Amino acid sequence: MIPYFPPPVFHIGALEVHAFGVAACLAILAGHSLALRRARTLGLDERSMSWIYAGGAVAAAVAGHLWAIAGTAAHTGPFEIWSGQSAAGFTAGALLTILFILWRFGPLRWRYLDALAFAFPFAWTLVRTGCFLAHDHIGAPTASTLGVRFPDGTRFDLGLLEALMALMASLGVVLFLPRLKLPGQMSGFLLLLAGTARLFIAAVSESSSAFTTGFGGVVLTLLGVAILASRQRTTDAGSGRRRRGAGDAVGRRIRFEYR
Amino acid sequence: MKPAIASRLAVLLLAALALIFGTGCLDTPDPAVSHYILKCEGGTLQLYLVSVSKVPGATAQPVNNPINGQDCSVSTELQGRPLTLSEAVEHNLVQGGFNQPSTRRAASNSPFSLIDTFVNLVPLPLGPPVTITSPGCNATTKAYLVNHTNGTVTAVGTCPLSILKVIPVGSNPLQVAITPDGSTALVTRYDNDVVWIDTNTDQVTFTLPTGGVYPSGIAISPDGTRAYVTNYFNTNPSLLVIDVVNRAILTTVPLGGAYPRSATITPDGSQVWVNYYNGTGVDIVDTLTLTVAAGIRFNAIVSTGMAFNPTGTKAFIATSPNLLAVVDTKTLNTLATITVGSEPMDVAVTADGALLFVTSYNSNIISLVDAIGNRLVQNLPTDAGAMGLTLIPAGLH
Repeated sequence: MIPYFPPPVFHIGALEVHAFGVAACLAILAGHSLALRRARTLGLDERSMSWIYAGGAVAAAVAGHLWAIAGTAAHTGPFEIWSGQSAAGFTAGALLTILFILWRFGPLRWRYLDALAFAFPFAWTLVRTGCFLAHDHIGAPTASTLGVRFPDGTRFDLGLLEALMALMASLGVVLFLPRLKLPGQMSGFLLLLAGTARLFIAAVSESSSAFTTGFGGVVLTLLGVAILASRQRTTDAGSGRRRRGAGDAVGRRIRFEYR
Repeated sequence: MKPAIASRLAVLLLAALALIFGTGCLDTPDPAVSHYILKCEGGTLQLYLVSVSKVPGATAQPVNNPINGQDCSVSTELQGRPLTLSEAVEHNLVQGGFNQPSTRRAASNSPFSLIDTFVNLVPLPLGPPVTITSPGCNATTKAYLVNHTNGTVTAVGTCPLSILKVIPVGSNPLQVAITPDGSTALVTRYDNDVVWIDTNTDQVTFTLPTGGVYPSGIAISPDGTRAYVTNYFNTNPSLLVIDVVNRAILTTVPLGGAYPRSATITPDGSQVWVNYYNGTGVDIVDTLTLTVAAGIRFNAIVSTGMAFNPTGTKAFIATSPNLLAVVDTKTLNTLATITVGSEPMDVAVTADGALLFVTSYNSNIISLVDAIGNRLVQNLPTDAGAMGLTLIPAGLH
């Protein structure tokens, strides 16, 4: 079992910085950097990618905060995003961003989403490591070696479990990158991983939001499967057309960029 | 194309906000992972609500519950640490089987591996655990005390006070009543028995199994032929009618409320008044028709002491938190309410009906009441919360 440790706090002059803050800061910066890097590889507009990332991060953070204060009746302003976050709300904000991308970026929409999907698990790992360091999500009692000896008994730390799963998702994204060549496949794959992870978290959670977590997990998983299936079908149809010599320019460009 | 400066700044601003203000996802512990613990402190039980928290030394908040204050001094191994529900049941501190099934996942070596939702606990209805064989102070007058946690009844000589014998009766004895002739003591055992004790030899002479009935309160008719025993349970709550002489169950009278606790019989034996755990009413059973003939409702919990004056015209009913209701037994109207100590427990009327005494569990006093004028005379100090009261009119006790 993991011994309990108090949430680390650092002092930079007069500034008090919490481990969670450091992890969240690194997650935002790392996610941005990786998304831009991936966009560059895919030949996408880095300026658009940067705006998508910034807008998506703000939308997810605000939605996550609104969801959190709606659930706890906390007396904080709607934009005080640092004073309470909900993963369910964050997911809702992210889904809104996905819808915006799908609506706004035409034939290139899946590639922008894939760039975000590539960056997400790394940022996810860092953020959840921050949650673990803050012991924010206390799970069910356990005798597992992954349990944390909290002051009131040994329980799962859901932040740690999700950080480990996000780390595995990051490795999965890297390992499967050569195989996920079709537009949208990376997005579908990431949603599948994220949904599965959330389902697992719901299973070991005692929180009042366990149902929401599980429901969100199901939605993400189904969405991932649906995207993977639809992308496969689209490509099969495109291949058929190409066999008939009727390939479209966008299709060719995508195939080129994914080589 | 290089990303715009503005979007980079937006991301940097967000990262800076996270760095400066980010302390964690949640500001407060999730109430859903809070749990109840029961502690034995200084020999008595106290229920706490513990919020599982990321902060060390999270405080456990005391919770009001009827189980608080119950004696747990019998076992030193329980002292000063949280008890699991199984332990509490095992040591006869609470009634098992009532609590909601645990929805929590089990963990083999976790202190929270067992049910820890103590909030709905129903304590066993202890007391009044003492009664006497005859109204007098002489060498033959004995008092019988139920030792619930030891499974024994102690025979005590009253003049002078001395322990005469400790009588094993089996687990979970709750109340004792003595036949009017003083020859027999009947003891209710929550574990489905009524026990007969011969007061001459102080030996158990008979044990009557009650099947699915959980005996609690007991009252014996003035002629000594019948005993009325409450079935302290939430399913099929009832009043058991027992033939004392032939040692057999005659019938059961269904009752309306859950957990009927104590039974008090009127001096003429025509009615048995029954109260309920955490109940606000008293049901009146007609002993001739063996039906619930009437009921009285109060705006307070009435689950402890009741007594009648010798003529049976008045009933004195202890009500929580600190009142004694005087009820006209004919009209069933409340004649007066008298302020007594906090959490009144036992009510005992003197043989002449002039005075009555009320023990108080929380106030360390015994209230002396003018039973005729319906007014408080005096509060007599005690060393601790009192429970279990009997009067020996001809003596000094």
